[in-house]
Amino acid sequence: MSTINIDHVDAGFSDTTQASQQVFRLGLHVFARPGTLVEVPSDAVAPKGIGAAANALLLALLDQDVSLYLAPQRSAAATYYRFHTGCTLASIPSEADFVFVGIEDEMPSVETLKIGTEYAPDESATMVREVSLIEVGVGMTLTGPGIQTETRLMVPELDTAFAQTRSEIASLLPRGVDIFLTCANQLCGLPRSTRIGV
Amino acid sequence: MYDSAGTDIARREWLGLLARAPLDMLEAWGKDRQEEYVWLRRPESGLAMVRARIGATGDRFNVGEMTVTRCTLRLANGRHGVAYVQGRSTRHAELAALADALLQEPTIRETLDRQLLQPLRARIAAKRAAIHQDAHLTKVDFFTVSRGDE
Repeated sequence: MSTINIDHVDAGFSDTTQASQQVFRLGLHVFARPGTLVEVPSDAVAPKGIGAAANALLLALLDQDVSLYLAPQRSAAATYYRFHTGCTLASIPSEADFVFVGIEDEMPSVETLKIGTEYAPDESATMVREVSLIEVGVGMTLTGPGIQTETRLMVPELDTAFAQTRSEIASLLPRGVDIFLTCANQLCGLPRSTRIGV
Repeated sequence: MYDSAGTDIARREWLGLLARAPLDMLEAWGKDRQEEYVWLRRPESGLAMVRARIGATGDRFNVGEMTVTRCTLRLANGRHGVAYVQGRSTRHAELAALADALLQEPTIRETLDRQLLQPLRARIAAKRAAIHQDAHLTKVDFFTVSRGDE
C-alpha cells in the first residue's frame, strides 16, 4: 500500500458517523424525488473547486471498497478523499465506481462509464457533477418514477447532446448511470430511471 | 535521518514509543499543554490484522486481530501529528498525535526528547527486560547425543 502525504489535507466531517448518515439520507431523498433540490449541511473543508454538497456526498459515499475518478489536475482532492475515506483512485472514468466532474473539468462521455450488468445492475458508476446553476421549474422535462406528472430542470452544463446520450442509456434499464447534480451546497438527483426530454 | 526507503528513522522510533507508552506517563506530560490544534481525523477505533513470520522467515500468517485507535491532528503552525495506538483509548491517541506533531519541530525536539521520550525508553526497556528474564527462566537447551547407528 502506498503512503499518503497529508501535508495539505484539510479536515473532513467533525462527526463522521452522524454527518455521513444525514448526507446519505439526503442522497436517498433526491433519488426518490428526481428534480427536487435540497441543501446539504456540511462542516467539512472541501478541496478547492469542489462544492460543499459534492464534497459531503463523496465523503459519505466513498469507502475502501470503491474507486473514484477525478480529473488529473485534482491531485490535492485525490489525496483528501484517499485520506478521509480510504477509497482507491481510478485512472480512467470507465473503471471508476464514482466519477466526480467539476465545473471546469472535461465531462467524460456518459456512455463510457460503467453501467453494470443485467445480473448486477448495482455495479455501475455514480456520477457527481458540479454545475454552475440548478434551476427547478424551467428547462428540460423530467418524467419517471418519483415524479407525479413531470418536472422541469435547467442546468447550463447539461446540453442536448448529454440528454441524447443519457436517454440512449436509459433504454438499457436496469443498467445505467446515476447522477447527482450539485451546485455549492445544493443537491439534486438524476437517477437512471428518470427520462429526460428536451 | 532517513533510511534508504525514505523513512524518517527518528520519527519511526518515537511513533513506536508513543504507541507503547503507558497512558499515565503521557497524561503527566500532556495534561497542561496549551497547544491548539484541529482534527483532520478524530480518534476512531477499529481492528487491524497482525501478520508475522515465525523467526522472521517463511510465509507470513495472520496472528490475530488487535484493537487500534488512530487519529490525525494539525497544529496552528501547520505541523501534522498522527497516532496509531493499541487499544481503545482515544486520549492515548490524542496525546500521542500531539507529541508527534511537536517532536517534528526541530527547536523543541531536544527538550521533548528529554522530558518525554527518555523516560518512555527507560520504562519500555525495563518492561522488556522483565519479560525476557521471565522467559529466560523457562528456556531449555537441547543437546542431541550422537546416535549409535551412525
